[in-house]
Amino acid sequence: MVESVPFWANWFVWRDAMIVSLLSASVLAYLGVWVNLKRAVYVPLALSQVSSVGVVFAYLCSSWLGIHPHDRHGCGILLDPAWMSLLFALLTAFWFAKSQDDSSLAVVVSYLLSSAAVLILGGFVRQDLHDLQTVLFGNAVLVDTAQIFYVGAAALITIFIHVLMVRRFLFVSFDPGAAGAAGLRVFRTEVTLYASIALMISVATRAIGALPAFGLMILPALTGLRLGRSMRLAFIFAVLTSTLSASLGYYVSFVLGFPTGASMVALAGLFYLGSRIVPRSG
Amino acid sequence: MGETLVQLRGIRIGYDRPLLHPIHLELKRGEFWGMVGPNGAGKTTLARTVLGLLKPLAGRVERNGSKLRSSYTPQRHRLNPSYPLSAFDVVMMGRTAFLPLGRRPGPEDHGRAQEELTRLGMSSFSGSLFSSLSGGQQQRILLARALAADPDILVLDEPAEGMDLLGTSDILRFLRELNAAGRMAVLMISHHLDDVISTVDHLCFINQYSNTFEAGPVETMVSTANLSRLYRRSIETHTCAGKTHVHVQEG
Repeated sequence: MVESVPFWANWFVWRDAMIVSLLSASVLAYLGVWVNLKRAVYVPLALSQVSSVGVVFAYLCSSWLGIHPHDRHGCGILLDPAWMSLLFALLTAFWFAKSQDDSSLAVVVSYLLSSAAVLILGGFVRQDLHDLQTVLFGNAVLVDTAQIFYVGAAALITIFIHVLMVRRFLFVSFDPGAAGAAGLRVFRTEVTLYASIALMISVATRAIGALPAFGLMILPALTGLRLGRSMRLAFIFAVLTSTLSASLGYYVSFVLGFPTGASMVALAGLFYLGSRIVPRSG
Repeated sequence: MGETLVQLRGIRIGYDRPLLHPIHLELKRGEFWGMVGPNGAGKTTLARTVLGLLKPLAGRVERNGSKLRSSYTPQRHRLNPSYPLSAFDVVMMGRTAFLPLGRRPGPEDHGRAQEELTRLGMSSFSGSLFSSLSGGQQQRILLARALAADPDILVLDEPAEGMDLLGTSDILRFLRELNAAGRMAVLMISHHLDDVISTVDHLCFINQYSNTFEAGPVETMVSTANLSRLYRRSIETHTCAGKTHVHVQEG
């Protein structure tokens, strides 16, 4: 018998985590529609893994130099795991955009190498292993209040970029040849789109964890594309499904004691399976 | 004939290694060019070089002014059908290059898109999903998108791909009428020799396997000797009721 935990009475426990989860879920789902349409579903997985190398690298350098990885003074600020993970993810996003025809190969290579690097380099880090694990894989249950700032800033930057460039992203993603002939800068546009994905996935992975970040990017977007008859509706359905999965998932995990990230992803998966019952639009 | 829009001066096309000997070609406003050659001959590579999508490995591509506008309709099978885009959305893409960052399309852009849809007889399909349209209808939508960009150079890659007899005839007639207005240079890649010959006024033959590139007016290009050299098979041409037909000889 599971002991019921008063959810609403303990709002101060989950408030920050819920804000970060909902912010992450909505922007990740929006980006997920692009990722799915570009048939690049492994890109966020690889970016998330590469950004983990950035975190491990930051810890390793801090360890060698004898400074704390979260020290905000001197060169400590350059070795902040958040900045380092973002830098690694952005450089990899640049490589993915440049690879074009070989992009799936670039994704696989970066995923495999970064997975190996995290395991090998992680062994040399002297910091508390639990501390590193939390930074690497996040924790959707207990979120540091600072994460609201990080995720909020990343979400704002992403939204700003997309408000400016959404029509270019659409043309370049759908038909890069015609977009290039029309005078659009295809490579720059691709880099910007991948950079926005890298920014959000690296920040969200640190905040809520790798599984929910990846799951809430891919599954709700699939649901949105299944139900939406236009790009706008696909985005709306994706964001709604994602925020619903994140909030309900958190509630279920809180009340029933399930793992939080897994509950969010399981619900997003159920919504997607449910959407498959609906006849395909068009 | 009109002003020169693009001039290829001794360019060598290809990705890593040159496919052919240096190419010289001049596209003028009002000209209608056809490009033919076997599969994998380098047709699309040359078209991409003309459009500036691919840098030549050697030589120069000279474009007449930086404001020259180009449009390209790719082979339909290269497009991802899972995008939930209406026919109108696709045509509106043609206006993207006119919009500053962050600006939404205005009434003028909507008007141009609607105008091109009507011109191609597709206005009643404006709200239909692009992916649900037939091959011929999709081709018309892509052509409407290309024209909505008011191009100086229009490059069409297999515009009649997957179309039936009537669809092919309609689209070629439209292209002839379009060219007659003399506002742009058209370059059409096609495998349908009979149709190309009866539609365009200039032809280029390309085949990287026989290191062949020749270009000129249709009447001087179409001959049994030239076509046989291009395809490395015995090909005959004959004229019937003013129209040239091409036959591949057996054996």
